[in-house]
Amino acid sequence: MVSKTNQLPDKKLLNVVFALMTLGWLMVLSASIHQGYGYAIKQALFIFIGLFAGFLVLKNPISLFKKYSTHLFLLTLIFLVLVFMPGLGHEAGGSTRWIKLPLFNFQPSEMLKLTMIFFLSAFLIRQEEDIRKPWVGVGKTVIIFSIPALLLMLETDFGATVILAAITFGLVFSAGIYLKELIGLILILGSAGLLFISLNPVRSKRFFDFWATDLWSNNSDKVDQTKQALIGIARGEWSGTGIGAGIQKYVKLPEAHTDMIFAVIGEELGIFGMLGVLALYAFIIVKGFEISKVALQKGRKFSSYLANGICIWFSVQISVNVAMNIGLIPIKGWTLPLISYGGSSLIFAIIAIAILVRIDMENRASYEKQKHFV
Amino acid sequence: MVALKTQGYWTRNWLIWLILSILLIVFIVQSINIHSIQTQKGSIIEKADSQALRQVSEKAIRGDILDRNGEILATSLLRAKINIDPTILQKEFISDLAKALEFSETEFKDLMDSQLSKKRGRRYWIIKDDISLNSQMIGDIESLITDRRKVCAEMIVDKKLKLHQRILSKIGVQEYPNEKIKVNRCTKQKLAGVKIEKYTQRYYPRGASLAPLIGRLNSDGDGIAGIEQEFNDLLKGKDGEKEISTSSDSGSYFNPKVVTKKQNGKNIQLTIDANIQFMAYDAIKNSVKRHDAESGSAIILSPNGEILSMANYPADNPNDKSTYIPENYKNRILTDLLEPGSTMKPFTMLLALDQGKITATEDECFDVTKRIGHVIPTYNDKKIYKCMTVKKILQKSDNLGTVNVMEKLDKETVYETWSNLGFGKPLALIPSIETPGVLKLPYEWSNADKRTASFGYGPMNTNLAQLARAYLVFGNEGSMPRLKLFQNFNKFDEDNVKVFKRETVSNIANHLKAVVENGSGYRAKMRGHEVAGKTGTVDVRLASGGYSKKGNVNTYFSGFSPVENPKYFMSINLNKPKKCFRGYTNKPFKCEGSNSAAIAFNEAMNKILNNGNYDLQLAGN
Repeated sequence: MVSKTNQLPDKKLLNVVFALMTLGWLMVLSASIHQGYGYAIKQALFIFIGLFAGFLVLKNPISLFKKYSTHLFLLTLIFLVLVFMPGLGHEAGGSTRWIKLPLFNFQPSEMLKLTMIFFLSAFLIRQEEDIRKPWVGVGKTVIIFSIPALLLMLETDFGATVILAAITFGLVFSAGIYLKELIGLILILGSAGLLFISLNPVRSKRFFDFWATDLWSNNSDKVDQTKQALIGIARGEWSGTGIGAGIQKYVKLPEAHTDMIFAVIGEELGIFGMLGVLALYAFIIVKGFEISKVALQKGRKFSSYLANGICIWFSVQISVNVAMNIGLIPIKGWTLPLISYGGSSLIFAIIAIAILVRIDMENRASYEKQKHFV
Repeated sequence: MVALKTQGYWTRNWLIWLILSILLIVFIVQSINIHSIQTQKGSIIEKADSQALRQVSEKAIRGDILDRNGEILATSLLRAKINIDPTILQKEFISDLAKALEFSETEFKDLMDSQLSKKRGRRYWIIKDDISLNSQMIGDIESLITDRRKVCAEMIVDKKLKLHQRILSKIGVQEYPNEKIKVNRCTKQKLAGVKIEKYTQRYYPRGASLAPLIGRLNSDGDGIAGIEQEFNDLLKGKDGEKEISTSSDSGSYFNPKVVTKKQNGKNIQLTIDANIQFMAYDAIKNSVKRHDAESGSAIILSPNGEILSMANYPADNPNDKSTYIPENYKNRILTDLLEPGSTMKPFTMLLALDQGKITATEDECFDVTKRIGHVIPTYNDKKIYKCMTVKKILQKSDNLGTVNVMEKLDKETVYETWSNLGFGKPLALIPSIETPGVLKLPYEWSNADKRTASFGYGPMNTNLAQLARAYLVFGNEGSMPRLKLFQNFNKFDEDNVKVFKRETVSNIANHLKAVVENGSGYRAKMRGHEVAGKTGTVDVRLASGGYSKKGNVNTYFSGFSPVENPKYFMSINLNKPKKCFRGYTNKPFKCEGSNSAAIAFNEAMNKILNNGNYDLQLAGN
């Protein structure tokens, strides 16, 4: 197997990713410093673990992931089930999503986002004929989606379910399914989502109440976090209060170092900081889609789908996190990739970026080598 | 490119691009727009400010009051008290906290229990007060406050459902009631409910000896008596105001902006000498007690007009904040209006001699057998003295003799001189408490008034400080300087007022020396030091007019030492002394200046003059 591409990683992309991670680490430090240095030290450790994993990924051809996509997917499903094992699972905030590990709690749903992309990409290539015969493929896809989705719902990880749906939809869409079936798929997924929401009256009330009443006349505790996020961002004005000088993180804004880190950036670095972060993310996503396009042009469909799936994952995750931080949607547990505190999400985000970089390197490899890549 | 066309990449992916572009635009617009959100209670930025910005006042430090040598007479000490809220104190900290607070653990627990059983005030419990900031206790508690410990508490949480129960409830097949169970949860926590509160406390190292002059503060930190009251604004300074960004209980703050600058209070340096003050106070205190007087005052001046001591008794210790009796903070030297009595006689003699109306020699003798107006002869029956010299009149403090001299003067001259001596004019030392005295205009003076004025009754009243100042002519060759109480401000470049000729003054000074050596002031005589002075005894004037029939008197002694180039001038007043003695025996006798105030003068002056090699540094000397 040929694993060397004789190409260097894309410098600009790496710079942007390192810039985001460094900023992220600083913001985690700033947002958690009142609780001691524990979070910042752990986050630094996660970055190094992630970078090591990413390095390993860079050294290996993408074909490896195609080969083992099914294994990885099944392994993730096992992990998702293991979460419910007494003694292994860890519960926090009313959800059971973690497997207890010595250093940190491993969150299989973060892994699932990546392995789902592997598996679905490989599946779509295998099933290309069936996809052209629409309904059979759609049916298979729905089954593939439903198994992990059910497990995620049991873990009450609504966010991961949404991302999983988005990845599934996006990949099938990119693979060239007809619009008719796609509308059908949307209807199925949408009604499933609505059913899930309406089954639980508390959740449905929480879901719609956010837009139903004016935020500032709504005195419910549930929108308080949103209000405080907005107040924090308003304090920042154009250039922010300066790193470390935010005050919302102390008491008023819970989860400042994880889900609400974008609001802390808004407070401490201002509008410029927020727009800068958005610009960096936009660069990564545009670059990712371009890598996906080039891979497709070179006839390497698996790599193309992979890059596409990663970009869709990132765009949804970033968009939803930013949207809830700036008060467009209600707040759910949802991290900002590469920036938020959290071992699993950070490590898998770095691995995903490493895959993008590797695909790009394979894209630029000599013609001789190209045929060995997928 | 062929592959791309066949795949129809753009036809499919334009939708994703469109959605992402719209999202990006929405995010940018919303990020900027957040800052202009309007709520019902004003804009979001105002809301953010009202939530984050706090006005913090910075306490200005009150200025010190110092004596002439820079010794502190009043200062503000930083002290601390420790508050405990036993309702939120974690039990894991109790044993160490008790140790830090110097209690035994059981004692501390008992205290906490009794505090917890109270209905009110249990959240704000001052367990220790008045502790020095650099004490061991504060250090121990500060390190305890920053400590984090594992704290366990029972919590009530939802009972966890089994997996199959959860699946069933998720898909809505079966509902499970919300069961609550108790669990023991442990977290790392900081000590809660213990606060060190810092405050300043006014401290007066010299205690009661200066209390009526310096005064004291009330619980709000404002002066309510004496210099503390008069110069409250100057001493107090201005509290600063700072605007800080903070989160209510974070304990951290950022971006402090100064709204008003803190101005610490100014120090006030007095001309008072704390040691002389103490000796004078001690003498006055003894004297008031010995003679069972209502009150007593003594003022000591240096010849250049600087006030070295202003002692009053009764006086309270201002460090004892439990009681406040305004009477005991009264600076009687300035507040009380007195008839100076015989202590004025030297001035009658000075004026007559200065005008050339008398010679004040041994050859000159005034007839003291005939009554003049209402003034009758003292020695009418015994006929001891047919006539008296000026020296004798002063030695025996004879009223009729003085009136004889006064008869040679006209009232305008007397008025002018008394006015030049500063009677009836305010001293402007502590204006709000000071009585300016009374000096009636000459056209209001009857003949009787003029006669009584010669021995200190009648158309003039004074406070003790004014009387003491008039005696300064003996130390300044007939000129009288202005009184000074403050060294670092209130400086007037004013020439001394020339009242008498140099020779006149030294002549009468020698007669006053004779008063002490061999006259009514003999009890003021002391070994090794020359003293000159004059006694005075005045019937207490009643508020209704007329004089007390009960024998209530004010007794005085005004004098200086040494006679040539005097160093100290001292005037003493005892208010209504009741126990006085004749000679050195214990026979009770009517109280007079000679047997009460003169003794106090002797006691104070003796201590001051004999106090080792105590050397007074006079400003300007």
